[in-house]
Amino acid sequence: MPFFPLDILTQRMGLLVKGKSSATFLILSVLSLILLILPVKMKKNISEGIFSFTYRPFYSLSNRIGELHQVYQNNRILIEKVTRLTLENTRLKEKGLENERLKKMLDFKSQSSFKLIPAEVISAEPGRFPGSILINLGEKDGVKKNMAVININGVVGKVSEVLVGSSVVQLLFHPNCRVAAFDQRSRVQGIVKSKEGIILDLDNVPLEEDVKPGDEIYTSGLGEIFPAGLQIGRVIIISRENNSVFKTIKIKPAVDFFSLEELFLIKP
Amino acid sequence: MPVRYLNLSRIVNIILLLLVVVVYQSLFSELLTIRQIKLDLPLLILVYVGLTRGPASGALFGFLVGLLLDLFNPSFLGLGALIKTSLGYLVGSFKDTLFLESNVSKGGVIFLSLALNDFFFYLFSSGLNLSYTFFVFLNYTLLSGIYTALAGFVFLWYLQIRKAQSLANSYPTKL
Repeated sequence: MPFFPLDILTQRMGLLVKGKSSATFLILSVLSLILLILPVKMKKNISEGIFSFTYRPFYSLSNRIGELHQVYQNNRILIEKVTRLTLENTRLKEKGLENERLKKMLDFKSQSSFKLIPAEVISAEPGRFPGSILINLGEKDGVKKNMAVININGVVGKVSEVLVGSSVVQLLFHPNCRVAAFDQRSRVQGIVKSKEGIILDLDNVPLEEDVKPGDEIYTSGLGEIFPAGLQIGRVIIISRENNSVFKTIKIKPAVDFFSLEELFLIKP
Repeated sequence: MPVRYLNLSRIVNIILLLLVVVVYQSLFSELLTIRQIKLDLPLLILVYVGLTRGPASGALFGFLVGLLLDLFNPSFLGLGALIKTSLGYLVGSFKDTLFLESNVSKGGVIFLSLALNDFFFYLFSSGLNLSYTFFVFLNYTLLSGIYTALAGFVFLWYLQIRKAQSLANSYPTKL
């Protein structure tokens, strides 16, 4: 079938001048022409009036949606920024605290009569009470076995094993660690070792010796590993076991073994 | 004027279709534009109204749609209304002839309608500048016409499928 059959077209053209359709068409065409010949200012006013109740509500809605989307995007960016800044802030606070500690250590080092080698803890032995830690200095840094290890608060332990770039430090409360010590007040001698984890014991102190709670315990230097005068801890409990000729003396360490970071090795 | 002429459902339908035009122009026309080639949905709807409702509805819808689109060019208020009134009337005049034809021919009507619309609009709005009119025609109207005709073809094909399905459902088969 042809797209525009001529006979149908002619028939339709005949109908174009008849009927209400034609009247509708004529009226609307005249209306359009009237609008067309109006002054420009009047046209603009009419357009503005019709635009305000047809398109404007939808454009406002579209703008609102756009603004919400923009707010959402900005929100995501800001959350990311805040997270980054919070992490940075935490990191800077840590650096600030580290700086303070290092300054104290620097003062400590300069005041100390020992030759000190600064070291850092790399890792601790896994377990509830880690008996040893790994530090970042080894054979190539001049570390030797049995070097005493301290921090700003007191005795930490001794080097038990030396590797090329790192070393194992046996902590004071390791079962195998022994330190010759004395009571600073009464000068009573004893051996510090660990029997129950974090609380140390001052052994070999006869019953009649003068040791009281609160007394400070220091290294005596008799063991040839730890130099004399290094703080070990403070006496907290004194008791006596049945059939024993020695006192049972409990010492709280001066060092916090659960927050070891910067250490010093004492060069012999 | 006979009451049946002022068919309420027809008026509601036309208002709804005009709303579709307004929503489309406000919110979605940019989304459906491909590299400056626009989908002329108002004209597509105009052709649909003309082919399904006849010349009177086509002319009325054309006038209203033309007026709505002229709001974006206040200086030419009435020009788009006049052209679309004529187009709506012309397309509507072929209602009984073309409505039962294939979708391809309807696609052709859509394309021609768009071509005529653009040709006359740019001719009169440019002050009868033929070279400008042909420039716009060749660079924008042709591709926009193809795009709109294809969209119309797909839309009419979808309507046919739905109509066939509803007819199949309304005639129960006897075993």
